[in-house]
Amino acid sequence: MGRIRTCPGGNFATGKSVCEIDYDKIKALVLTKHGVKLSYSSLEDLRNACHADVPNRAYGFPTVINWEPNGGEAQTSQVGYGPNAYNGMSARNDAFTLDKYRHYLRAQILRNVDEVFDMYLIDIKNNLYGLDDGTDTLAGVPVTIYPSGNDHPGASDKASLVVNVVYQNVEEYMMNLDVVPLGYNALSAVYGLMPVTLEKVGTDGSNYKVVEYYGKGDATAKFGSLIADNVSDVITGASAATYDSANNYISFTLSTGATAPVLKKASVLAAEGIYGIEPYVAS
Amino acid sequence: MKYNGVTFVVEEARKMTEEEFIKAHLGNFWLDRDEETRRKMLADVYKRICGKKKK
Repeated sequence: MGRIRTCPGGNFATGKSVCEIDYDKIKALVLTKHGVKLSYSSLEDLRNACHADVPNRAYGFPTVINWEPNGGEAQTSQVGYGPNAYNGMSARNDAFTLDKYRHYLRAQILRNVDEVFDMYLIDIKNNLYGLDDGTDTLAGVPVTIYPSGNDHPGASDKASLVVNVVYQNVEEYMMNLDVVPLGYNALSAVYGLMPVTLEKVGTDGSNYKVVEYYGKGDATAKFGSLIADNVSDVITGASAATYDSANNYISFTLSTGATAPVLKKASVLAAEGIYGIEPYVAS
Repeated sequence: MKYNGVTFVVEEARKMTEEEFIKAHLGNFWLDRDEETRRKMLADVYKRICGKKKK
């Protein structure tokens, strides 16, 4: 038999589910490095993914308060006096407005505009959206990102930060979009990490504060007790620690030969229940 | 090991003699108590971590 062709439209399923999916408003945007699949089999899995070592880390953007698509519309054209015919989808980018304007997050997004990420979305009903790639685990949607929004409140608008995602192939997205109901409170597991440093208080002693690298917020009250209680696991270079709530600092005894306590990486911190931070590393 | 609000790193304590352990931690914790009391507390911590006195 000679070479033949099979029609791609041979399987045309137009039915509906007996158990319709309840699509709801998007509450979280999660990116992974292109080709890295998100782990989401349990809440702990998803939370650990947000604290994993690079390149396997998931970058969470809680909380999305508005989603707005731009483009992604069918384009038709007519040739001669023939009928209009589908001629592809227009390029699409979605705008995800975050709950707060954060100048440091905008800077981070801007630094990563050239990288392709894989995007997952989570809605308010804990449905996870990604691509069906023929496996049991959703793949992400390839996108690039860029920021927009307002630095300051204006006459009618508050300051805002928008993460814009640019679909690399909107047709592929539409043909392979898939939804998985997670069955747990996924939004509580989605984290973006804030780099922190341990800053010495005064010149004497070995008392330290936990300081956010961007914006220099004092995070000691939130993390000091957890870090001191888990000093064996989360700090290198200390032989003992206690959190002094009156002075809001952590007192360390440094190990022999150590010059300063060093916070361990995010995956180690998360294993001890310390979520949302990682040690700052100069790049 | 946690003792009176201070968490001690067991592996680090085991690298020290009792005297080294007490000297290293004496000026850092429980400073509202007199030195002798702090010495006794640290000796107790060391004993709990390392058992008998390390020579």
